Amino acid sequence: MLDSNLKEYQALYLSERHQYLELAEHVKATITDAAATQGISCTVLCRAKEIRSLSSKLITKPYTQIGDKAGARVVVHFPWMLREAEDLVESLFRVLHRDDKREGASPKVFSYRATHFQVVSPAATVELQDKECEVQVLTRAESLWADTEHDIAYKSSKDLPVHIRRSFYRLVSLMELFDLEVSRVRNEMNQLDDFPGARLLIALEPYHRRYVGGSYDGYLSGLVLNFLTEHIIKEPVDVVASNIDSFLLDNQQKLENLLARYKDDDYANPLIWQPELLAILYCLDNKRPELQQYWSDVLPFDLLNSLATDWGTVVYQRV
Amino acid sequence: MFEYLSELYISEVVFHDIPHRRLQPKAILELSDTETLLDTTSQNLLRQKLAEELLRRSFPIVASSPPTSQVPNIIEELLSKPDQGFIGASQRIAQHLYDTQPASSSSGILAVARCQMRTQHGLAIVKLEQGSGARPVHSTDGGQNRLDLEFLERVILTNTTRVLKAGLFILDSASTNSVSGLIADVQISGQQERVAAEYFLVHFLGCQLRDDPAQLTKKYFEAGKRWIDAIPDLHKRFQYEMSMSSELIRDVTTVDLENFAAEHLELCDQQSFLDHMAAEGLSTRSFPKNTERIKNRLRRARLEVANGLQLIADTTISGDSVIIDVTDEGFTQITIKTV
Repeated sequence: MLDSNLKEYQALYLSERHQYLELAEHVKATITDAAATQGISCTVLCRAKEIRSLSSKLITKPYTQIGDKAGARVVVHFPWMLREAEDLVESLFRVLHRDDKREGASPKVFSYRATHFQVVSPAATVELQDKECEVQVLTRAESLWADTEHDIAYKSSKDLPVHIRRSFYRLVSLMELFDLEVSRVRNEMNQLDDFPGARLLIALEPYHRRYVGGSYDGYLSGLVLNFLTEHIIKEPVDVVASNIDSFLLDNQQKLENLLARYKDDDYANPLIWQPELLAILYCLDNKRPELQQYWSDVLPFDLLNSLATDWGTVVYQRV
Repeated sequence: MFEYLSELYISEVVFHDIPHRRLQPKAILELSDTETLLDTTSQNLLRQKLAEELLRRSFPIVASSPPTSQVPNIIEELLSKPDQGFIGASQRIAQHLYDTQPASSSSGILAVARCQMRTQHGLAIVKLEQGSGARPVHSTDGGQNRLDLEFLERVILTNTTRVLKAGLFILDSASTNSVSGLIADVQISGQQERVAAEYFLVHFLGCQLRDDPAQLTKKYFEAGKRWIDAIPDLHKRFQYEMSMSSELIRDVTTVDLENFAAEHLELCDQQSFLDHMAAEGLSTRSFPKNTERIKNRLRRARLEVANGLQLIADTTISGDSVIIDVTDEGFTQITIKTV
């Protein structure tokens, strides 16, 4: 029966595919913008299903039940952001169906892990509003496994020889272990009283994602934040984090103006794009004498001086 | 205005070449006929140079009355009428600078820029060093003369290019739209006779210092003395008093509060000093020095030691010559080191 309508559905999809592509791009842009605002570090990919892929699926599934004609994948950069990303998807779209493949998985089975949402977007243009998009939310490791599985496996893997199935399980468990270890290391780092610089970096990361975004140089962050927590910031990290939160709330517009000025400037002070920028600006307002006293022990004075000028203040180089 | 400098934005800028009058006494100025479109980097560097100079060294100024130059009128027209011919006005400003500057003044590049600080419109007038060995290059674009962009970018991009003079002006709505602003000029001194002779401030810009340097210097000295007198540690109190007096006696033309704090006060006291001075109404970071009203009080540092005893020291001696300590028995011990 499906075979007889194949060409009809192929033609239908070909006529609609540009709309699914438009929908997928709309979903991607919506998630990307909201994630940046909320400080969720993720990469969003999207696509409209290829006609060949749809055709092969039509052999086993009716056209109307193929839910991933438009698809977006939200790959969170850290496992602890999964929940925030899932909540984000639920807040941005009308969710028709949610399928958490981690929840239902048997403890005896290592399988594909992700949360799938079937959504429609009320914010899309009128002709797209009734069309569905599948949104997958997963970690980097889960995304890697999803791609790898797609390349090397096929659905009836239960028929494969045992030693090959065991290899699959080993790979899947590796992905799960990877995510768990990343989370564990992060949690332990955040407990280390002797490494306030690392803890401050963890506290600054959400603000960096919200206001600055993009990647940063971790070595430089370590250098600057260790210096700040050793010489300038004497309060406990959680107190400083709370102070910086209030400071950023009071100076949000000023900070956004500063960042906007350098957005297209390839010669900008490299500290502008670093998480520690926020701590330095906080110190410029609250601990300037100490900052100017010790800064040159670690970094060139000009770097601090140009930030100070941009922040509307002056620092003096220790003679 | 200082609080807005972090949000300074340059929207339009024209650069003019101002030659050396002695070297080119009969020069006909090749003024630019068109504005220069700077890329983001050059725009940021120019803004930073201007902002840093104003943050570091500027004083509040107001237009002189009666007028001593046409420049305040030109500024007022530009700021009150946004459609006013910007290029023509900048040319008049450049010509006036060339006409009024002394023959010994160095050549330079004059930037006249429309600025924005939040919702406030402003006009910046900046004289930049043209760079050692760099000769201005003019180019013609559609029959219009202007300074060559590559030359300008070299001037602006060079970190060592100095801002020779800088002014930033706004219309003071509180006083019927009169021109006020900030000026940074290392040649300005607080001495009345020298201020009056200052070509950039008086003859070119047609402005005067808003605050009386003698009054400000006295206010600074007295406020600083009150802060010092509240310090319990006698030795520190004596050291700070000596430092403050000797800084005021020293042959420098300005008083710079933050630089004084950074250079002479212990780290733990710097913020307290600055907070105290701000609370005493000294919100200006630096100002031209005039010690006329306090000169007699600067010669001697006087310290109440105990039981009505006072230590009086000549402020020209080194602060290290006197060590004041409290012994374990609670006695104040003064050690005077003589050569």
